[in-house]
Amino acid sequence: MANKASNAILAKARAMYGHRLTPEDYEALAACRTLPEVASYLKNHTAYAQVLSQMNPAFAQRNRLELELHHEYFRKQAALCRYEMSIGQDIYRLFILQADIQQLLTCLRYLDSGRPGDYLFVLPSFLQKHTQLNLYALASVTDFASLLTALEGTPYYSRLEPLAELKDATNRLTALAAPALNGMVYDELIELFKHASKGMQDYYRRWYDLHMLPVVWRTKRMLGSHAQESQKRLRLGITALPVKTWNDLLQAEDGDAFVEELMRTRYGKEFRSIEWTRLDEAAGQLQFMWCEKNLRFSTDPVVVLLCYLELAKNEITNITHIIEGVRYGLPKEQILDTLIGVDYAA
Amino acid sequence: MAVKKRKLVQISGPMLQLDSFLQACCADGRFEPEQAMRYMSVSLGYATLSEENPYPAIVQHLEDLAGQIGQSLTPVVKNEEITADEANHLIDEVSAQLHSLYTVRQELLEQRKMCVEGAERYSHFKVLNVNIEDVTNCEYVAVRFGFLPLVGYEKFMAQYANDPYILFMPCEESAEGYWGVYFTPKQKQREVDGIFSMLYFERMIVPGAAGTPEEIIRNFESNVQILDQQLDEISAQVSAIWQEQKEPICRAYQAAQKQAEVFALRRFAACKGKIFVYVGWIPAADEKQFTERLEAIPNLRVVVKESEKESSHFSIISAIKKRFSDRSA
Repeated sequence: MANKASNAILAKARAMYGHRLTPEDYEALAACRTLPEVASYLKNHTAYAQVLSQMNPAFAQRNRLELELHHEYFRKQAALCRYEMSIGQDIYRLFILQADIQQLLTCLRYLDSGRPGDYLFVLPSFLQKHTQLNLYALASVTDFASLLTALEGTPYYSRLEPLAELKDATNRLTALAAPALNGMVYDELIELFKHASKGMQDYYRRWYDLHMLPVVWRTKRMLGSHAQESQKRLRLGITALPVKTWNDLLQAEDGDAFVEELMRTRYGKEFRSIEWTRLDEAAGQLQFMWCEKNLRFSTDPVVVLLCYLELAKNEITNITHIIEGVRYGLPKEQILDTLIGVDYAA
Repeated sequence: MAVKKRKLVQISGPMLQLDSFLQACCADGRFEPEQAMRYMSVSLGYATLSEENPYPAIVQHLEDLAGQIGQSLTPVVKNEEITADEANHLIDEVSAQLHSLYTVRQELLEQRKMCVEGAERYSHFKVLNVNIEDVTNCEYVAVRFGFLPLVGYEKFMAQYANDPYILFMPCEESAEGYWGVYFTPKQKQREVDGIFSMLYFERMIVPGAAGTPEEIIRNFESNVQILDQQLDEISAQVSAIWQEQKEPICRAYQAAQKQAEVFALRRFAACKGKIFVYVGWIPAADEKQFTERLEAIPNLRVVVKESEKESSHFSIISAIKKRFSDRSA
């Protein structure tokens, strides 16, 4: 049964990847002048036709378009995880956890900005059936205390409750809560690692490193040699880099020194193989390339599943960048330069 | 494969007779023209004709005219010639007759479209048993008609169902959401419009009308019937014009088609001043018939390459050409 399900994921993920946006699609989208044009193109020329079937492009709004795209991503997750559950590695729990944390952080961002009620309008109601959160209760919060009340009975309460005692936490809730909430993801990962295949472990170690390296780099660029805060956030149980390597990286004086040290790590060769100016964009590009390769050649079904979802998420990120670019009237070439994994005729 | 014997002929005469020659001798396809300039020395001062063929455009205009009327052009028994000016004059005359009718028809079609769209828009609000004019002219309450998608409706119900300044009345439910109306005090209009915009409300501008939606729809439908009658009358008038002009138009079309083909053959001729020269191949068996036809056209001179010595070179080339054309056929 496991083998049949494994083959099913391999075939389905690769078939679904075949419906991705082409470079021509990206060029056409980047050339759009208005949001209705973007919505109309996605609806009439791409695999997003089904999820946008209920949307009238003439009335397309950014919020709704992005919500529907995330709905499509969530639908793909669910479709593939139906197969994944049958082979014993329950990473679907991890996906829901990540989705919940993203919603909590979004709600906190709106609280920090003094517009808590606006969270209603970005709330993805399609998550309501799967999440542990009462999303509509989140949309009704007016301050941190009411947020905690809405989280009672959930695992998130205990992570955020200590923040209530902090002084001067107002307007900084997101920054304070993010490490605690993201820590839940890493805890879940470490738990999953106990039963995970080597392929899945490799994927998540690399995923973690390519996520944390830019975080530390940004800290170094802005704050210089302050290693302690970054040290606290590291989860050495997940990373693929040795402890000594991380120590060397964290001791870097500034962003440039950090990059020099990075080039001496196992990721150095990869970073040197591409042209880049910002480390976070380069990390995204490398992750894209790795996922595309392993989607095609890996025989580990979970790795193929994870790679496909990473690529699908990247596509939605690209479309979001296009929507922003169109909204702000950027020229097509400038929009295309922000996209990851898109080869276009310059 | 046996090659039929052919003879090369050279015809010369006044330019005025070129078209007559082409129609009499070339139109049947048995005469194979060659570029006359290939057989003439450049020093003689001849040149090919460089003219724009006016007949394809006329053919197209006539086809467009018939297409506009919704009729087809049929062949006529009598073959006539027509000049480009005569054909254009006929086109202009018929177009002028139809122009005013088409203008009226266009206006009627636009009015019909407005009525159909109006009926369709109001069809979603039939349950509203109130006079629309009274509702839209309220002094203190703003009214908005439109469509609220399901995703927005759920958020509305979660957050604003008990808001005292908003009343949303669903009128028709579909799989995608609700057609309905929302009411709000005019003082709160901008804020509430913003809320519904964020809930993805698709506002619909309904045409101003008196009566309940049911009555309005009935009025629109009766208007559509009246307009359809008027459109039928226009169509009848157009048909009458067509019946009157059909034969001249079809004759002109047939003539223009034929003259377009003949005109195209003029480019093989070599001309100098008022004299033309034309060169081509005819089947040897048709020589007598060909020359007899030419004799009917005044002032033409024909030279047929009689001897084998004179025609052998040309025979070999044309035989090779013929062999290749037969293989590719």
